Amino acid sequence: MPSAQINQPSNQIRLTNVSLVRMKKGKKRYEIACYKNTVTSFRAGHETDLDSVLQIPNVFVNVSKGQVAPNEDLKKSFPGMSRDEIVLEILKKGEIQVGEKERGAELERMQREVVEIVAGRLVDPKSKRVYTVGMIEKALDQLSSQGGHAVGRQAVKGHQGGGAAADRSKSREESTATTDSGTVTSAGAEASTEGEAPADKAKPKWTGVTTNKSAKSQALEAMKALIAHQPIPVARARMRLRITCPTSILKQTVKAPATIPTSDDAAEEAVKGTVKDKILSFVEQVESQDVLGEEWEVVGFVEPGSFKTLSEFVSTQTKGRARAEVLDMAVTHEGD
Amino acid sequence: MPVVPPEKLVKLQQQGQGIRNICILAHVDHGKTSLTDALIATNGIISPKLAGKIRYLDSRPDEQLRGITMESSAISLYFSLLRRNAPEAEPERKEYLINLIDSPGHIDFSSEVSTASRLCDGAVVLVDAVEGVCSQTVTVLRQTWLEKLRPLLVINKMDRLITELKLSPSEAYTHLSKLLEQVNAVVGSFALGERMEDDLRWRERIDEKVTAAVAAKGQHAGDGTNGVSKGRKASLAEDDEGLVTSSTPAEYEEKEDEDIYFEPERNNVIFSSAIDGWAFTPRQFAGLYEKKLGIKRHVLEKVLWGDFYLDPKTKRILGPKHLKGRHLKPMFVQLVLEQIWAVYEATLGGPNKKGDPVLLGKITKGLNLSLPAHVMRSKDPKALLSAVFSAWLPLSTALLVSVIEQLPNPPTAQEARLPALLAASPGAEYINAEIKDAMTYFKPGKGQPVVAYVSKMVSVPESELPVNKRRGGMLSADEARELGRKKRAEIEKAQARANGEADVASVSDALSSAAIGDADELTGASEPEAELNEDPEHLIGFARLFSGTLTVGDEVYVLPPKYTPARPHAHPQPRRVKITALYLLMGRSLESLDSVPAGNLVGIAGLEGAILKSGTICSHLEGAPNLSSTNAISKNAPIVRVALEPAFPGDLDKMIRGLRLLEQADPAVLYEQLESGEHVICTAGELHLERCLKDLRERFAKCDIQAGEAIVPYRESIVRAEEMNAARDPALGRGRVEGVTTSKQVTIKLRVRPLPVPVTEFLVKHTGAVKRLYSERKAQDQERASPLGGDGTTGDALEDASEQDIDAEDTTAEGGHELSLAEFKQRLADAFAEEKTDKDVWKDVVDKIAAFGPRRVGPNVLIDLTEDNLCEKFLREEHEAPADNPNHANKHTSTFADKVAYAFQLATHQGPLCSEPLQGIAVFLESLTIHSSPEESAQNIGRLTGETIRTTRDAIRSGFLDWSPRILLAIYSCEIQASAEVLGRVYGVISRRGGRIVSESLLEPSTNFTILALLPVAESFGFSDEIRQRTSGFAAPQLVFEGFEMLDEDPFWVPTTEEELEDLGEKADRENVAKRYVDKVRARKGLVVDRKVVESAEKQKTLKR
Repeated sequence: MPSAQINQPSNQIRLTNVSLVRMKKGKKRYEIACYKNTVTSFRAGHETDLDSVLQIPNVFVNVSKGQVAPNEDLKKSFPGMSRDEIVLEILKKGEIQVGEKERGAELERMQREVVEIVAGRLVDPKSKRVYTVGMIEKALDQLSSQGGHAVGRQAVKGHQGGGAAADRSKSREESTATTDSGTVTSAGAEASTEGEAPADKAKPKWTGVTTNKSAKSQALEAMKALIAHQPIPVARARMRLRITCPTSILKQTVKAPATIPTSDDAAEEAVKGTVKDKILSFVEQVESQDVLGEEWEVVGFVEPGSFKTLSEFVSTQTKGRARAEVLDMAVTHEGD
Repeated sequence: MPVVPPEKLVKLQQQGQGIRNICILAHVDHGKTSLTDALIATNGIISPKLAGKIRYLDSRPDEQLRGITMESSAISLYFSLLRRNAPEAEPERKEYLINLIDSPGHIDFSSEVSTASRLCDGAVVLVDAVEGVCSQTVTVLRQTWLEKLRPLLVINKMDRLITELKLSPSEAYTHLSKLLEQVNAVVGSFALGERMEDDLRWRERIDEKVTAAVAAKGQHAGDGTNGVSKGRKASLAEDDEGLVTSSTPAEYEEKEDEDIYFEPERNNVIFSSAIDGWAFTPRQFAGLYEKKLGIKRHVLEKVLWGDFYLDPKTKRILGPKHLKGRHLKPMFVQLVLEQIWAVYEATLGGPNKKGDPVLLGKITKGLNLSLPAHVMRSKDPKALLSAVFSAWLPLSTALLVSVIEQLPNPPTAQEARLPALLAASPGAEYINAEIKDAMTYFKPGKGQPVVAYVSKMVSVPESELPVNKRRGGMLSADEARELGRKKRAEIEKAQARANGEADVASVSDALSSAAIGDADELTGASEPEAELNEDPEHLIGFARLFSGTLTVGDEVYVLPPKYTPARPHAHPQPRRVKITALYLLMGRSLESLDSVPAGNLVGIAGLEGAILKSGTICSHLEGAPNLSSTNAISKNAPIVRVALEPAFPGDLDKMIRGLRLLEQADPAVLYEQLESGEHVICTAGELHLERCLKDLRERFAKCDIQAGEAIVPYRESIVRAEEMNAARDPALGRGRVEGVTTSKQVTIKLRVRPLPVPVTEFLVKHTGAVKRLYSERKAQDQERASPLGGDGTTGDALEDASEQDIDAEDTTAEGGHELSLAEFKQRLADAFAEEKTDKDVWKDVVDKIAAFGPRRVGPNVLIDLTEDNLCEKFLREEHEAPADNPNHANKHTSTFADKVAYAFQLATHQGPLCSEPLQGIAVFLESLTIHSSPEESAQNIGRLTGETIRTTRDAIRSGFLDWSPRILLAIYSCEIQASAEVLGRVYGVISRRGGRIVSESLLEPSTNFTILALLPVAESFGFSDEIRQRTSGFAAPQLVFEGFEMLDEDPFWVPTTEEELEDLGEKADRENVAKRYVDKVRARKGLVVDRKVVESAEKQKTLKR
């Protein structure tokens, strides 16, 4: 007993290379001790060896104090499970602390995915050729560190840092890593809305990728920002659509313009015209237009952003008798 | 020596006899540019003291910095010679113009060597006395052999034998004779190669004769009634007769190969040290010793090199047989080398390496040299050395005299070289006889046809053109005086004012105003600089005129490299351009000219845009020779490929402009823009690449540029493997998937199968044909539609289609022939028929093909097996009506068929392995059912569209993964020429990079091997550099994109059976190569990679940093 009490270097146990997985079950909190940067790999199925994930194959109440969970409690909380099964259960469903490397790897992956999507959808408006991934990446970098944004960006950074530090200290006691990262980004988002100058508000901005949004939505944001700021001449690759419509409907005037969300200037202008005019107002460049019997058909290029409005319009105005069909999602220059 | 005015050079250009066009060739660092320096010094362009150090023709800063030449550059030199026709005659002064081209020696720039040698008549080949024959020496010797240039050998860096290797004169002599043997062996091997070819041809001829004779004899013998022996005798006689009477010489005639070798006694070998500024030929020494020894000069010339000895007593020359055991030194050692060694000893040797003044005095006296006193007192022994040598054996004299005497002038050279050259050019028989004549017999007259060959385009900053250049380059004396006067006036004025106010400030004011005046001057001077920023580079053609006289303002035809006189008006039509200016090339500066007669090297302006890299200029169009055709000049195909990107994305336009300029200005650069948006340049080597990047950054694009690995394409495919995992759903069978949309309204049944290999190959080969069929069909549709629609767009579309038609034709033309629809169908059906297994599956599928993918042209097919043929048939015959679907109930379903077809395109464009295009799969659409009423589905067609596309795509992907997936690597076919010694290392490099040797064969006359290998593109980065390094430059690879090749390994394979587990363990110790490639691509694209974040969890660093 005395040796346990006297604080000597030899009997100090420091938790190094430990990452905790916690789980609350039956009003009790259980912890298991794992190696750092391993749990996400295990959950994704890339790591199959349990020994290289678990430090100690046991369930604790408090790892740092070395308190092993009593058998009765475990039986109560996890009825009918052996200790090993409980460990696996906690490992799979508990709250984890995301390690530095894990976060870095995920962020990098996300960045690449976003850039890859963006690179596939944006073209040089002059030559209609796509840009390389590297070019898009550089352009985005430029955006996120650009002059007008620098202030807002720094503010974000400052807040983020502070928030993270505060959070980390808290997380020692209660919060887990996942919520940690969540709060950090939300703090960042707040900071950005605070720090933003009102004039800048009109232009969408880009502050780099995060891991808590889907790559697709981030890619959309990035595209908007790139198009607004034009660090390199970019435009969205056009969709190629075929719109067919019975000729009888074509001449009708557009009914109930209120049903169409009036976001587009062009759309509002065309409101007074016929259905045909309205449809053509969506099409940026007509490739071919002809009448086959009763059907009027147009093939042309449409800005992807207005596709939804167009297809809604087509389906509501013509009661489904006309249709818009995608021939190509993104038209880029094709090599020889 | 005074500076030679350009006017004099221009005058000399007129006399063809006095011109020598030479190029200096050698291995890297053997002293080409230093040698050139010594020659330039004779014309007073640079100081003789600096010759050998300044490297005048290395005008680029990076050339100076690295100390190697990167661009060939030309200079015209004047040289006058006093010559006696007869020994007693009055010496006659003859003037010569020497057009000299200094070429780079590094292997990366060997294309510059070939362009330079085409322009010249003679070559000076340098060899380092210590290093001997190196890889590039062999290359340049071959180049001179092929171009039929008369070579002159210079054994350079002789000083290294003395100062570095510390050889004695006799040792040096053996070393030199060995070196000479090496060089001659190389030259001999070329001659041998040619001889063997000749021999072969001769043998064939003989064989023909013999067979003919035998046939004749057979007949004869049949008639003969005599005994066997007699008959044989007769036949033998017959045989003899047959041979004797034949016109072919019975004995193979050995061609005289004496004149190709380098022999000092024939005066085509020069011994030199460019750095110390001396050189000599045995002839010079013969002249020196003529009187001393009392031996006739021409005799001495013959015996000075070789095993000849001087009897010290009788002063007679002895052959090796007459030595009678005496130890005598060869004459070359005794009379030549020892003298030179003595000079070195006297200047650099001695007790304290400071020289030996006594000995020096003796030598100078003996040689009858008078050195200026200040040189004699000089502390620098090197200065003394070069002073002695420049008085005794000046480099320029030895070299230039040999050049003038040994190398031919343009008239003789053209007569010898051009017939062969013209015969080798394409369409030789169509060349106008008049032009041929003018070129061969060197007719520089005004009215003669003008023919010039432009070997490359040189870009020159505008400020350096003579038009814009300030006279003198710096402030002239007058200008300086003017400036001084101004300043004085200012100060006087200020002083006058100061009398009143005596203010210091005003003086400084005046000074500053003078400074302003000065600044005005400066801005005047920097104006060209400003222009330089706007219109910086001008391209000047580097050309050799073969006949006629070219004058500024002439209009000439520029013949592109593909031109052939057989079809002078073929596309692309040769352009007619006006010569805007002509320049005399003087190294880094240019001098304007009005006209140039044949036989000269000249810079031509006004060709910008007309010539890409090289071309021929001719005053006539019909019957003009094409000297620049690709096969006529051996060129290294560029092998180092990199993708370029501007550091700041906004600079992209600048970079593209710069790349276009670079491509024109450098013959060895290829620039292309890929479909992926990458800007790729191909260069001849890493060093060359570095130079190109520097050029881009500083001259052409003026923005920062980064180079990186180009993205490597892959393909994904599936195969029927021996052992596959069980089909996902055994009830459906392998590859069959039933997809239901999330709203449960649409059900899609389809089946994925690997396409038979012949079909895939066929489709890959005939992509162009599919594309053309598409555009044809589009055009047909347009035609049908036009009477109804009748608007202007159809015309455009038609035109567009026909244009595509031409494109497609071009691509198929490469395949040998163009396919009509019926033909295409037939051959496709044949390809399907080749497949033996599953015959019933592939029966009649050709007619059911609905689409190809990805991008509608790829090597994957969508086959419609639905009962009512929902999809439009792609390969329908023309007479068939377009698919007006008679079945109206199904019209609704068929709208979804379009979505399926679109989803097929998407799925084939991005495969499940790593989002790369698929190749060689067939998707059978088995059924498509819709569970809701037409009205209902019409309502939410938007949503259903998306769902259908997604479901179909996922279904195709999971069907794909049900088979054994494979990844296809892009492959280069790689041809390597290597000598036998380095063969092993070449194999090592190839196998380490995952390559495969296809064949290896001995190139018959030489000892070189040709190795044909396949190398994955993904592993080719830095390949050429590695192979050159490992083989010290004795292997030269050439890479050509070959296609895609399947890597026969399942990227998902893990050991499963007991045996495998036992062999490989659970983790499969052997690396899965396919998986490595897949993971690399996935990581690049940000897809999820099956990889642990940390490799060994318990070994992580635990301490806080």
